[in-house]
Amino acid sequence: MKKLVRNILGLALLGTFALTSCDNDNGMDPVDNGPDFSGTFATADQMGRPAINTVFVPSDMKDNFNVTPPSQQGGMYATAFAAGLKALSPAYANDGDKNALGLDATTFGSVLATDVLTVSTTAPTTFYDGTNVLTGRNLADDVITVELLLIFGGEDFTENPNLSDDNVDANDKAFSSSFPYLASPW
Amino acid sequence: MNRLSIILLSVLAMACHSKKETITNPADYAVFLEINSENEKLKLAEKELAFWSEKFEKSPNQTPYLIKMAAANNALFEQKGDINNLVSAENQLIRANEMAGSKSASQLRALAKTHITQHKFREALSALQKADSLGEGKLATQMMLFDVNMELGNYDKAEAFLTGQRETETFNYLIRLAKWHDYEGDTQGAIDQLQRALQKADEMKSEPLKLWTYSNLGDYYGHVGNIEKSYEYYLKTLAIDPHYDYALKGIAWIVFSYERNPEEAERIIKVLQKRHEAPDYQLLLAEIAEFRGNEEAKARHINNFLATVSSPSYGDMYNAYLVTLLENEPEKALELAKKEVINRPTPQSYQLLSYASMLNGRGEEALKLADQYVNGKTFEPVSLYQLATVYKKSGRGKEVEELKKELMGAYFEVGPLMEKEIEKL
Repeated sequence: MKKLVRNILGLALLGTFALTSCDNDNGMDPVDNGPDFSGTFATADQMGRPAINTVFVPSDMKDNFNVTPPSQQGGMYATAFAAGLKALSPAYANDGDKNALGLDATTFGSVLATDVLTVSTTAPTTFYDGTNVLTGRNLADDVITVELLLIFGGEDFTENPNLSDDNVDANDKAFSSSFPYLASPW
Repeated sequence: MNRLSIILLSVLAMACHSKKETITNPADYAVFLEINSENEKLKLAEKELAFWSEKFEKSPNQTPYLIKMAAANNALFEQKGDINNLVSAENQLIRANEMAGSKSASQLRALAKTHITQHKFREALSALQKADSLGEGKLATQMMLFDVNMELGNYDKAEAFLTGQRETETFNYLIRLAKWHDYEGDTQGAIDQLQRALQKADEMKSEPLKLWTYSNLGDYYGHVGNIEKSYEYYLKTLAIDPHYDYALKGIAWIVFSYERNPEEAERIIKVLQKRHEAPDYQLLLAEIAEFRGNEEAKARHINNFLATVSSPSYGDMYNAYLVTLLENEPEKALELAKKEVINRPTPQSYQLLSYASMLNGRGEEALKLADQYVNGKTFEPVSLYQLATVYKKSGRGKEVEELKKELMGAYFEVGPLMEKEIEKL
């Protein structure tokens, strides 16, 4: 049979599937329904704070960043993050500019580059509640707006008001009251 | 075992039982021909396109919406074969990349994927090279660069990529290794790698990857003359997705080429035609009509095919077919063959140019091209047949005999009409 379009088309399509996750469906085996942990696992992507990796890691560093242990991220990527902050945010345009946490571009860049979700064992859990900042994260926290405020809002959250709010204040669907507490996608 | 020895073996095997047994059974696939269930993939793609188009209309500065629209258009093209969907996808991805200043590797890969479907391999290469220099998702980019380099005849680059990989136990690597074996004429090697890839697809429980691998195994088993296995894998494909028409087309080919039952093959194709607009079906129907001696129907199907693919929307997608169909317009055939060589300078394209040169009475040129660019450089049966015709015209009897021997094992793959032509060589 002539197979003009066929072979390559499929192959190319699959090129974009390189790092997909696995579905755990298929109930053929009645005994073992748990996840299969055999084989060698490798880190494919990392996201401690939402959108931070997406925005601040430059394209040519992305693959490496995703496989760098968080303990080494600060040292390796702080400079790139600081440069990103200065390039993106008018609130960091001038020397000495700081954000509401009192952090200048270099310091804040180094904080962000360690892309983990920080949790305080003593303070109330919140991304930001008016008093506590980055002490954890609740489902209902307005995470992206807080990040925008810290990046664009300047020393007192009043700078660049058009850039420091995503204007999405709540989930479009009520959260569940039981584990995993998220709303169902559809 | 390489393709040549397989071909020789299957020649021997065929000699043992000249009467071909029937392998297919309409009861096996009737359910897939008569499906009343809705095509879920089609329905989802239509909904996606409507949803994202509406959002894009309200916010025309949002590239992500354009990307979603393009993905839906690509899916629609896959399901229905309407070329307009493919052209829309291309335009949307070009626009999205312009809006993003060609700074997103994933968007560039998406554009390259659509260009590959359109057989715009040079454009695909350029998009992938940009994506590669950006860096993000480098492995995915390089996998696609392998694919495009294979299509462009840059075999050294493709091989360098394969040998440079350290992670060789992945689905994506194995299917490309299979492609490489096939290129080298080692079809059994390709099957072995596809079987290993199938294990990976099973482990990942990935339906799209299983569909792709099953249907490709269906093709490859056919190429080595194992028609039972070929049929089995097409049925396995359909068991997962009853709307996977490609597998039914494969079954129709078995019915026609191996079992020599043109009526049943035609019945299958005509059902598929109602679901999917691919011009390829017209060619298959033309071949079946010719086999049945119905010259009028053959001419009608060929004219339908020519009328369809002459639309500018198809671009150069069907040039390779057109060259062989334009026997009566040799100048146009030559022009298209030259274009095909520029688009993808592979041994197969050079063979088309050699064939078209011969059509135009340029025997010496045809022979030079055949010797320099084709002979020993491809194992594609259709190219080998054309090569043999060029050698025959030039009085190179020894080469003709060798090629004839090789081609005798590819009768299933080339079909009964070409079989007759091969016998006449």
